[in-house]
Amino acid sequence: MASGLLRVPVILGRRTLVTSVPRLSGVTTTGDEVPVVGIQVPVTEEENSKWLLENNPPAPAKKGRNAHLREKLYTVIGNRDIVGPGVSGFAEYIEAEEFPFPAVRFMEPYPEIMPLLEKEKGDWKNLSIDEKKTLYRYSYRQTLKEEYTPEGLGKRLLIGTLFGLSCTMIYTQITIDYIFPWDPRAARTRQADWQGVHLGKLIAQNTSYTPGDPYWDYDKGEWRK
Amino acid sequence: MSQWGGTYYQMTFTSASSMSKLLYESIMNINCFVMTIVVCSMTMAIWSGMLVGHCRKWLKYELLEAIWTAVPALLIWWISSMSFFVLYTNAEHKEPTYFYSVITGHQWYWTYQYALVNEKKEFFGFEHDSYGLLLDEPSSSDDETVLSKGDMYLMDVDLPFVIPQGMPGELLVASDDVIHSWSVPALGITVDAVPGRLNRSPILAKTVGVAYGHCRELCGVNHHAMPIVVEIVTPKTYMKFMEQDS
Repeated sequence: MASGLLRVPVILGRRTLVTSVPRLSGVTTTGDEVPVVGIQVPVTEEENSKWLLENNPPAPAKKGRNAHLREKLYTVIGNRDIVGPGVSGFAEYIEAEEFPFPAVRFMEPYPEIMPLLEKEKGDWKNLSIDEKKTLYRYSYRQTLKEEYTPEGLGKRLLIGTLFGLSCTMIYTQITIDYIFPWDPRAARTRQADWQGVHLGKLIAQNTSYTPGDPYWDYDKGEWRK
Repeated sequence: MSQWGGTYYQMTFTSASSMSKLLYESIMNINCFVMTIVVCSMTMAIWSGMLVGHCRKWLKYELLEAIWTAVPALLIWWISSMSFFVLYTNAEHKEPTYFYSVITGHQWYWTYQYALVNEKKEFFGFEHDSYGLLLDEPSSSDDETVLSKGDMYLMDVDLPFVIPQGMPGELLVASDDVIHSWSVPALGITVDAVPGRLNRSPILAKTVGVAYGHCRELCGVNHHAMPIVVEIVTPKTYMKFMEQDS
C-alpha cells in the first residue's frame, strides 16, 4: 500500500473529482519496490467512489410525500410541492383546459403562508375569502376566467389588414392622380353610347356569353315593342 | 353569363379551351369539397363546446391520420389523371392539316402569313401585318388605324387573323426580334414566339366567331399594346378571303 498519498478534491461543476497527488517524505523502499518519483498510479474507480461517498455524503432526504422526487427534481421545480401526475407524469406547471390540475404548485413555500397551510388542514369554513384567494394563488397562477380571456389576436389581425389595405388604396390614388394618370382619351370609350355599340358587336361576333339588353332587338336594331 | 368586370373563362371555340375549362371546374369542385371539410374540422378543433369539445382532447387517432393521408393522395391522383388527359389530348395533331399559318411577332405588332394548297398542289398565300388600334382622333372618315365607335382599346386591331371553322390547321409561330407569345385564351392556345425557332400548335376551331388575345411575354415598352384578334369564319368565306387577297 502506498502511503503518503494525499487526495485533493478538484471541483468541476457540481461534482467533485478526486485525484491523487504524491507526497514524498522519508519513504523507504525494499529491493522489491521501485522508488517512484512523480505521479503515482491512479487508484481504481471503486476505491475512488468509496472515498467520495465517505467524504461527500448526500444530503439527508426531507420528510414528507415524494421526498425522493423532490430531491431528484430540485433543479427543475425548486422547493415547490408535487401534487399530482400532471401531463404525462412530468413535474411541470402547465395551465390548460384539457389538463386542469398541474403536477406542481405554482409558488414555493414562503414564511407568511406556512400558518395558512396549517389552517387549511382544518375546516375550510374557518377560512376567510382573502385567505382562500391567497391559498389559490399559492397553488395556481391564474383563475379559470383569466385563463380563458382572449388575447385579442383577431383585433390585431383586423388592424393590420385594414392598415395595409388603406395604405394600398392611398398609394394607388396618389399614383393615378399625380404620377401616371389614366389616359384621358380613353374616357370616351366608357360612355354609354360607345358601350352600347360595343355590346352589339360582342353579340354579333359571338365573342362572349353576353346577357345583352332584353328590351333591345339586336336583329332589327330597334327597341322591342 | 358574363358581366362587366367578371373574371371567368372566356367562351370556348376549340376542344382545347373547353377541356381546360372543364378541368378547372373539376379541380375547383374538389377544392371546395376539401376546403369545406378542412374549415369545419379546424373550427371543431379550435372552438370547444358541449358537442365538439372532445376534438381538442384527442391525443392520438391513427385511423384518422391514415384517412387524411390516403384521401388527399387519391384526390391528387385523380386530378393528375384528368390533367394528363387534357394535356396530351390538346397536343394531338389532327390529320389531315388543311391550312398552315405562320405568325411572326415583332416589336410591337404581329404578321400573319397564310398558305393553302390548290388543286395543282401549289402553295399560294399572302401576308399582312396586324397593328393595335390607337386612341387618337381619326384624321379622316376612313382612318383604319384608330378606334371607331364600339371598338375596344388595346384589344381591337386593324386587320384580324382569319382562320376557317371546322378545318384542322397548324400555326407556326416565330419572332423577328425578341421573345413574344401568341396567346388567345378562347382558343386555348399560347405559343411562345422565340427568335430563331419555329413553334407549332394544332388548331381546330369548332364555332364561328371572334376571339381576342394578347402578347404574353414581356417584349418591351409596348408589350401591352400588341393585341390579337382571330376571326373564325366558315370555310366558304375563308376560301373567298384567300382568293381575294392572294
